[in-house]
Amino acid sequence: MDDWRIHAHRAYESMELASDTVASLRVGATGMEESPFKVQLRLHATLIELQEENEIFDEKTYP
Amino acid sequence: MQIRDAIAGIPYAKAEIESISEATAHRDVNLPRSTLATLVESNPPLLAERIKHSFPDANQRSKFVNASMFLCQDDSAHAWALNKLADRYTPQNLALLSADENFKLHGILADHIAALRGDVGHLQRQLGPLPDYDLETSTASAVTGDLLSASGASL
Repeated sequence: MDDWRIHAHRAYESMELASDTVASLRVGATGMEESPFKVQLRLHATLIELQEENEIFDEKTYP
Repeated sequence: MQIRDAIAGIPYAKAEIESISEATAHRDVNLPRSTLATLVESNPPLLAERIKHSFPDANQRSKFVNASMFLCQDDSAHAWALNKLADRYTPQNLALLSADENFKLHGILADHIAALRGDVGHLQRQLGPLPDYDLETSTASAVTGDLLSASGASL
């Protein structure tokens, strides 16, 4: 059985990553980032993954 | 002066507050400057130029950036709550809940997920489509391919 907790942990990790990335893009960079394009691309992918986690979470797995 | 007066009646408490001029006068001139103050400079954001171009007015720019970060903070709060609930409600702990408590937990989870979905959707709309970067076109497709296959989604 799919455990809802796994999706909760993944959603949290993705959101942490997305927050840091938005901050790098719009507030201040750390100086360690890749190019703005790659950073944006990864942010888009992270948010898509996060929405997927939310959908799975919402539809069938939690108690 | 008010702080000194307030502290005066407290046993064993001693005020050691200096004005800037007093502190400057007492400063040890032999100390290296780096021990007195550390100047921290942040790098500009990666999209600084684009944001400036889209929002020439500093107030508008600030509102836009603040709105983005507010969304992220709100999202992070919901994701953090879900993470904590997942840690707390192990299968063993969940088995101890009554039907009513289980129903309430279900409601709490559903509320956090709904809020998270809404805010992430808002953030996605705010980010908009990826811009074209002519100089990086050659690497973009490879990176896109990797990420798309990893996420199983389309941009």
